[in-house]
Amino acid sequence: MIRAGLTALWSHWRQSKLQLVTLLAGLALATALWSGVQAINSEARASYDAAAAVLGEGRFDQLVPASGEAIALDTYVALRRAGWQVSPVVEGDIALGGTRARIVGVDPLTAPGGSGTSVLSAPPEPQEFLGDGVIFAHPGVATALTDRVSAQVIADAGVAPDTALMDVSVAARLLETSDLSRLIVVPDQPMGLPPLSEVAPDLIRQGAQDGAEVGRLTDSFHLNLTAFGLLAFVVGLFIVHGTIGLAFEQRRGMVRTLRALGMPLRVLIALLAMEMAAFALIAGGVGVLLGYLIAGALLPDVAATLEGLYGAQISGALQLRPDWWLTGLGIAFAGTLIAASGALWRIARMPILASPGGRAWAVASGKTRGWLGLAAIALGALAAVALVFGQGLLVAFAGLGALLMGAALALPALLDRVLAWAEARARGIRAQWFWADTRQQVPGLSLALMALLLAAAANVGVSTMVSSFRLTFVDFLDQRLASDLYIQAEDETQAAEVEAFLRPITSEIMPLLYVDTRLADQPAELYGVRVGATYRENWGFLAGRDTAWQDVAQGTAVVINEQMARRAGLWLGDDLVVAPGVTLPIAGVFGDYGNPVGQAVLGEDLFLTLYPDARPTRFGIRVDSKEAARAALLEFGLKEPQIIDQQVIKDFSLDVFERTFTVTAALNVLTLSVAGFAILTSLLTLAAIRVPQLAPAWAMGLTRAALGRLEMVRAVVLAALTMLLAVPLGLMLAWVLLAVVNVEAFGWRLPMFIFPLDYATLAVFGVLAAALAALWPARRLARTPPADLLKVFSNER
Amino acid sequence: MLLNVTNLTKSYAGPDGEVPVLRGVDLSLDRGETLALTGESGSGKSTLLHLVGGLDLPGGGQIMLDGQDVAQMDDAGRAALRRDTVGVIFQQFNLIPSMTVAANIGFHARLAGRQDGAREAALTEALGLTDQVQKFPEQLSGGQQQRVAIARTLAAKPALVLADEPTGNLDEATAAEVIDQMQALVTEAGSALMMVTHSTALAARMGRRLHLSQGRLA
Repeated sequence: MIRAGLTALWSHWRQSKLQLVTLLAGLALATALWSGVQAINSEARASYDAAAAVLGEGRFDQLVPASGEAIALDTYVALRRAGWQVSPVVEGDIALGGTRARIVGVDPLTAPGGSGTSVLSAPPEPQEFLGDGVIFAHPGVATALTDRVSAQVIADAGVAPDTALMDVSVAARLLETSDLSRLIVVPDQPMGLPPLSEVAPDLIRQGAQDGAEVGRLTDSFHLNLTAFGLLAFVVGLFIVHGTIGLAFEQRRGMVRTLRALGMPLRVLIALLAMEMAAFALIAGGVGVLLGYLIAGALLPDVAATLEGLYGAQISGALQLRPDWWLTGLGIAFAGTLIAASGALWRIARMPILASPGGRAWAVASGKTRGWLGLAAIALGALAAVALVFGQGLLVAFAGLGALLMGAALALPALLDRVLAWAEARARGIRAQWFWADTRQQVPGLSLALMALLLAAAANVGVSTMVSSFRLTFVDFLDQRLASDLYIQAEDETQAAEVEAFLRPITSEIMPLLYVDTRLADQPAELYGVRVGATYRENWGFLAGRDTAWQDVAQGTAVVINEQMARRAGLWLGDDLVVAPGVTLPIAGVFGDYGNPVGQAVLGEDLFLTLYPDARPTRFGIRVDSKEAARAALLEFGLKEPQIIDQQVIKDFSLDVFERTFTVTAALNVLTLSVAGFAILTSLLTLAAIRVPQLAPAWAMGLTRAALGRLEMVRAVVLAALTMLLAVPLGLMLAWVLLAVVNVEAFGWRLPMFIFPLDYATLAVFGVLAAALAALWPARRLARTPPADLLKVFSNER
Repeated sequence: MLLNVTNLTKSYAGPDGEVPVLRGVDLSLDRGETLALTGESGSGKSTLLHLVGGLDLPGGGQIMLDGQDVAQMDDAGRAALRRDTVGVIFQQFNLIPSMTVAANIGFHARLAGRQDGAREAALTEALGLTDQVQKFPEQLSGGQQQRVAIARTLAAKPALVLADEPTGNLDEATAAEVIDQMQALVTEAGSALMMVTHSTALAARMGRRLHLSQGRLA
């Protein structure tokens, strides 16, 4: 019985190969887009985790210098003598041939469990690691490192990309330093320890969660990728839902026959579920493979983007990680289940003696359309409540989902109204028939049009977001990198000498003073700047007084970044305690994109009054000739890496953005292709059903060629109307991502810019995709043999 | 006795309340017997056939088929009855459109685990379908599709064949020929046949005739 049932079910697919290909391709494409994005995220996260795990970031508190970058060995010794259980870390970069490697030195004897060598695939015994023992390096840098050190270098995939892990003394020698970079605080400390401010006042304790670890910095980027992947999957889901729904509807007769011939309903449902599971497995497998290829193609650009934007090093090579391919298969199963559950439910409830024909699949009748309209209104209201009144990232995403689903469900009703309006105003019987017939086609094409709506809205939304981000960031770079050259002195003595040397050859010197501190009860960076023309002319504010910089220069006001403003609930005109007994009004709030830490900026004089020992080691300078200034500084004795051309950084950042655009553009094209595919398959399947509908029109004098042309026009009209609705929906999506999701997730809001030309281009492409998709079915229809059209009448009983 | 129907009733919900279709039908049928059920449209012929075949549930009364009470069976039990004991020839054929004629003919027998290639071949030949076996149902005329439906049922060797207007798409001469063949094949298999028809001429070719009027046997 099982075999006979399977044979019958399979015979449908053997006869409808195109439908089978559509189903598998739709599911595979949906899975591919989702798992491709997840593969990229998974790879990046694994790299961050590997990097963070070595230092126990996120698990252990750390002691870091309050200012400057190094901890003197004496300070470490003093802490140990005072009973503090801390483990030293030496970090730095070295050049290895054409690349750079991150050197991390740890002490395996004092490092707490879960940090240091414990991240390695095969952790060594401490004595193997100590002194000139073995060095563990990421496979990508292991070979290059072998030529540089005498110790044995072992390639280990557990080490973060471009990183080498070694004993602290070996790292210190390689980096030519006697200082430490940070100290890991062991969780179990003895009782009665002297306070840190007493033993090491120059150090501050950074909580495990406070660290600006790279994973948090890059979350914004990954969140956007995930949102895109999810949208792409939803688009794919609409295709699968449409195809499965159609396949089930077409087999209603077969199902009735199988039951009438004695196949129990439970067995039949189980066979159909098995069939769907097999499809999910096949399509999911292909999808994961395609996703792997997509991720492999995009990962180098993503890696470059992340490294350029955040300094995050991720492996450019993709690994087959079980978590993402299992998730990919899981999502394929879940998608199929969602798409098939409605159809299976209808079959389970269908009486044996029900009519086999009839119900058009999906959103057929006016009654169904009414229900969908009500659901759309309810979802729209839910979205409005969640986005306006809700709090938290989850609520924001729920609001976003409700908005998109509501819009998709409202589409058939909206199209029906527009087409009814056109029908009422049509002149001539042919035009009237065309509009009426187009209205009749809307239910059958609804799912494909919903997919197009979501794909186009995702395009508009994500493009707007990325383009807004780019414009804002370019502006931000102009603001932050306004000086011509950036000088990094080796120490305070050299800094003073450099400043004296620079005075006669520069038009403006901008020393940068800074301390890590706590402001408004949160960790913050406090800067002291010398306000001049550069700050006044280049640093704009999200909200600021006209005299903001003047007030800062005079020490009568402070400016803060958006992160601090939002987290502390501060804004223009509020007061901020910048030091004990010193309270200043906030004269401006500036955008500080990608930075998770709060910042406040004071005038140089006030800063030095509050922190008299602070000395700048970094300067921005404005010069007439960068080349001449560079030559003079090199002659003065600075090394090449100490002089940074801001324009080079700016160019590099913009190049990074171009790569980000490559990723976004590729995903945009893929999503739109998936939607185009949905339209093609829907039109192809409809074409078969269309013959009985068009035969009377043909019999009454419309030529087959004219019918074919009208089919094309119909697809273009429907696609154009859908694209028209997609633009406002996409803009709403962009607004939610920029103004709600970003603020909830990262504490800063991106301004939104509108790009009408881009939307017009997208609309043209969307309509073109629909026209291309309609070409084949229309051609087939135009070439339908008259015998087939006549059969419609001869079969009537 | 293969079939024993006692005081069978059935109603459908109408706009003005319940509409009785069968009002206490009693009938019996033994193996080897053939029975014609005639009556006007809406008299309840097809409903009676569906109830006996386990395709629908009665409102009251009893249907004892091969020693089992059909009305008391659950869905799986009625499915087993349709698969193993009963064969229904539908007015609308109910062939599987994606399977060839040959596959359709053997389908019910395979489902019941009684596949018999020789019998299928014999039925195919007897019903004049030899040249059509590789075709799909949509490539056949209405009459040919009806013969495929008959062959499918007879190939499964059910104890009771229920036929709902099995020759509705055939001209009179062909219909008579097909009915004779069907009767011969049923008798040869030791089955019983209950056929719904409008045609008094075809009814006359059956062993027994019953007339249904306003839900009652006349």
